[in-house]
Amino acid sequence: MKYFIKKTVSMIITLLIVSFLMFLVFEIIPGDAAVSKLGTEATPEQVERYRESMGLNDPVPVRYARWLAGYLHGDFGTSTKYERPVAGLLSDKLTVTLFLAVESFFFFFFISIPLGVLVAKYSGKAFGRISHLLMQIIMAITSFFTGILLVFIFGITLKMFTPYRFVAPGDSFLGFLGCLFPAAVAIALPKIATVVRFLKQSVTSEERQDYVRTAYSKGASSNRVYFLHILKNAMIPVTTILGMILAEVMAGSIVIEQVFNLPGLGRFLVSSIGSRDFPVVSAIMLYMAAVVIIINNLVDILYHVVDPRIQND
Amino acid sequence: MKKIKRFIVTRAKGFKEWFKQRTVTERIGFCILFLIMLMVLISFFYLPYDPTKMDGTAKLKGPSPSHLFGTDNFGRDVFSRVMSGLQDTVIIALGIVAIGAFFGSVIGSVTGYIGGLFDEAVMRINDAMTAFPSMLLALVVISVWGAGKYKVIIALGIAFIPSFVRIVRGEMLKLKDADYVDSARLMGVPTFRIIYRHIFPNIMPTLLSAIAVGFNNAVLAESGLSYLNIGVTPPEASLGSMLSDAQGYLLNAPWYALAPGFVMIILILGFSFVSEGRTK
Amino acid sequence: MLEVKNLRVSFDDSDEVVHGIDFEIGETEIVGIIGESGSGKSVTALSCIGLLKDNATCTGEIIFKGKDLNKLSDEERRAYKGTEITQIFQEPLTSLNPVLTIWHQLEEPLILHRKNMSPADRKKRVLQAMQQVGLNDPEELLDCYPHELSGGMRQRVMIAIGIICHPSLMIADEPTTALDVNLQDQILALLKRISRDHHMSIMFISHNMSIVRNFCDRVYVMHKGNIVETGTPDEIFFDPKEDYTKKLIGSIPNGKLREDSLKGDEKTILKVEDFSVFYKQQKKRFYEKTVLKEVVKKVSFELHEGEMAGLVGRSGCGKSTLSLGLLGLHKITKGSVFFEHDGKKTNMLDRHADKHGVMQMVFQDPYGSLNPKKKIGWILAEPLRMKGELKTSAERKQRVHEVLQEVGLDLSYSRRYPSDLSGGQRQRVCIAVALIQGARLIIADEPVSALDVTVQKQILELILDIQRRTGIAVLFISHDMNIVRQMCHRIFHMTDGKLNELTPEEVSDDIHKK
Repeated sequence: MKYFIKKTVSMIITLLIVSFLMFLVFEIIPGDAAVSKLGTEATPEQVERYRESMGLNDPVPVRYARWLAGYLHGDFGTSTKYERPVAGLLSDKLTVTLFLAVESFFFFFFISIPLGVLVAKYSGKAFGRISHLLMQIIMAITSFFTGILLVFIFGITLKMFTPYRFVAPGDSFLGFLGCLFPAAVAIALPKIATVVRFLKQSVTSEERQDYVRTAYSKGASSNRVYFLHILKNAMIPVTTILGMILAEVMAGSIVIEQVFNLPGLGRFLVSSIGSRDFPVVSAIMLYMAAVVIIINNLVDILYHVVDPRIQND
Repeated sequence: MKKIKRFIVTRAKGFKEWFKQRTVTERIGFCILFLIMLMVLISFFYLPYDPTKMDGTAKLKGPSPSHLFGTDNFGRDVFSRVMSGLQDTVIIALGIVAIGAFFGSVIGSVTGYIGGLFDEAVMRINDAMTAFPSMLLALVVISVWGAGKYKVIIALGIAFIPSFVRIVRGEMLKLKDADYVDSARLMGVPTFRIIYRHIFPNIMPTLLSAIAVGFNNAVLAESGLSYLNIGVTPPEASLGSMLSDAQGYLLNAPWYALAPGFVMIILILGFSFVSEGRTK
Repeated sequence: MLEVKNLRVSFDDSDEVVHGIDFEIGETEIVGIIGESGSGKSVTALSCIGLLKDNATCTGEIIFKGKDLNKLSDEERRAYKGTEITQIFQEPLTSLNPVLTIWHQLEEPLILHRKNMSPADRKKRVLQAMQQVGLNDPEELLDCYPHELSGGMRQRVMIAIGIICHPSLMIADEPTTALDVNLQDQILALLKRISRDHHMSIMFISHNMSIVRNFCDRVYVMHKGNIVETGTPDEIFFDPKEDYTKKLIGSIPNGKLREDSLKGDEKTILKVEDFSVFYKQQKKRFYEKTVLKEVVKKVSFELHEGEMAGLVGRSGCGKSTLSLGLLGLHKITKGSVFFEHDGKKTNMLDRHADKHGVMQMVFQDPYGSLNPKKKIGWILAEPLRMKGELKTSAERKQRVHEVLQEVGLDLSYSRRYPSDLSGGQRQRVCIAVALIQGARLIIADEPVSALDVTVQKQILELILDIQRRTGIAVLFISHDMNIVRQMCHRIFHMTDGKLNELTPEEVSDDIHKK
């Protein structure tokens, strides 16, 4: 409990630091918002009036507090390009990103864990070696090239899906999930390879532990030893990596959305960077950073639940 | 003269011995890296075609003896473009890892050895930085600062420091209480020398494999940025930006996308084969 | 009951580690197998129960109750593991699964082998087994994890797992080595009682001769994968036939007192007064004040030139902390430590004093005390480089070679890495490191406890020899009373951070129990 409170406090502090940095980067550094709004021909009086009305003359901490309060109330500012509230622009895109995340994480989770244990168990045999090499090759492929390959092989050559098609969730929810699937696979594949490798390493080092010998000496079968005794221990170091992956996936894959032409947050972020639409950029980036920080901290807390050895500290 | 000859002979013998001790995967990895570095070196002096020269008569031609990887939508030779793109990719990745590894090991070894409040403060900042995915950190810098080759190196280089700090510090914490370090203290070895002559050689294997992994991540991150057209700016082309150009022609000219993609896979595979041998 | 014929075990089809041994164990017999590390005794044990890894090949006959286990399939063999034959191991903490509760681990053999037992019956049997091994309040322990128990309790849990299915043979591989002396006796007594009450044979593997002597009915001596001799403990210990056995028995520290004594007019070399060493206690909240825990409590003593002083005490009493504190390697201390030599007085606690070389340490773990990335020659030359008296590398090399010879190693060792050396050779190098700095006082923290008996004897002789030749003072830390008795002029006994002085005659094995 004490740990939980401590962790929450430190999480909030980190969030504040990050948000302050964001504020600095996007509100202060880009230069005088009044000049960029009104153009260089504006008279000094006009600029001054604008600054006064927007509160740009207040000291930085006051502006930060106002900015932060706005964020907490769901007011992320106004897009300079679309001249509409950012919050409204984001909601559709968030749906796409979140569903893509959930789909790819499920796909990733249910393949990587059993596969990792099996690869370790048969590490000396042909199955283990081949899948190990396969994992290495998959890891060497950039996620967007995986996407391109998927489009090329399954979309264009085998015609198993229509590339670059998007179905809005309102039209057909299943169709929506279906059109996300190739992208979800492209996101999941390299992550499967990462976790399989880590889990294999973790299982291999657990294999050598004395308790494994004890389990065998009780007459337990090797499947029981691997999936009951070893897996539970081997998962402890892997939890952190799982958390990092979950965070990364939830934050959205900027590149994959681009490859599959999906209207998610990442693609919007890239186009907003192109048009220097800073209110949108800062809102999306803050979302991504916050997701990563919150999930990582939750995983740290979970870690303490999983490992009985650190429970009492 | 004789001395030089003997030196070369003993070195060659030593190399042969060293190579024999490697595993098969490692040998393949080293061969791949050697070939790639050779290609990069050659590409500085010789390319079959000028990678930026357009040729209206030879648009989107398939692979042939004159154009090994075919041509692109402007009639440029894909092979030459891949060579020069590889060169840029390798240089950028090396730059990123060099920044990350150098600052990371200096900060990590000092903070790990000293410990205490200083360590606490450094690690807080470090943790806040790792909370950002390196891609996002680079995006922040670039969205404010604009794109470009050197900006990518610096942005991603900074983003790579925290992971090296973490690795080196962890090793330092593990090793600084080793008996042989106590023994060195009893010998009257000054702190600086203890860190760099006694402890650091023992961190080296871990650091080397972290560098190999870091190199791969750097290639991936850079190509990601360039793919989004916010990394390397045209007319310069890294493998990532070539892929993004080529994606539109996947149906008619798949070689245009596949060539840079596979070269990148081989590059990364080379490093991961080498680093895998190191960790064992 | 168990008869092993021509057992051969090899790894990766190449190096054979057990070369065709025969032995047998009768009903309710306690049979000891002794040997040094690398003698193949643990491998023999693992092949009897069938726990060898896949890369091992095992030939020969292992006849258990008339059946050759080596001919059975893995599946058939599993029916014996945990029911008929069980094993307990050296390190109880790592041998228990850290993330499963005691209940789960105790219940498992019943789930595997007594398939028709109801959960209630299982619980009854588990509680019964726990009581048999002397675990009181078994109900409360069921939900604990291994790390929440003490070392002795963990080993009791291991034994409970071993007896839960009423086996006929238990293989005990160094079951008391990781435990404190008084716990050792309790566990051994427990094993003996269980063996008698349940008609269970025990195959007892150990390197500790004195335990085997008191515990076993019959003893096999193993050396380099062969059984060299067998007999009752008395036959082996008082009338060994084979050369190796004679050497082995001769190496056991016998605790005979040292013959030469000090003259009594030696100068004081180290003066310690009211010396305390503190540890920072882990803070619970960051705003709490750091609490210091006093590990060494106001000790005062003197050491004299040419003296060998012993320091004994059970683990965790503060012996090692004291030695690190004396050397100035521990920052938080109180009191005074003065080193005197040639009329020069050095304050060991002054961080800026030039105290290097005068006092040196030989560490317990010979594998951790030499930098694995440096050659022996480099390590030995490092203090010379620091001192700067010997300017050229040729001079330094010369000095390194002299010192290597002094500790009984030849010149070729200076070009080797620590990983090429055996434990005994490493410990010689550590002593050389101390000598090359011209140390007048060496603190040896359990310098031989990680070594085999025969090597142990050689290193002890080396230390004695060097001390006689050079008149160095040694503070010798050990938990083995016999070694301390035969090595030291004076002995300090440490309990809970406090010291009291004893003469060698007063020291005996049961000092810990007082």
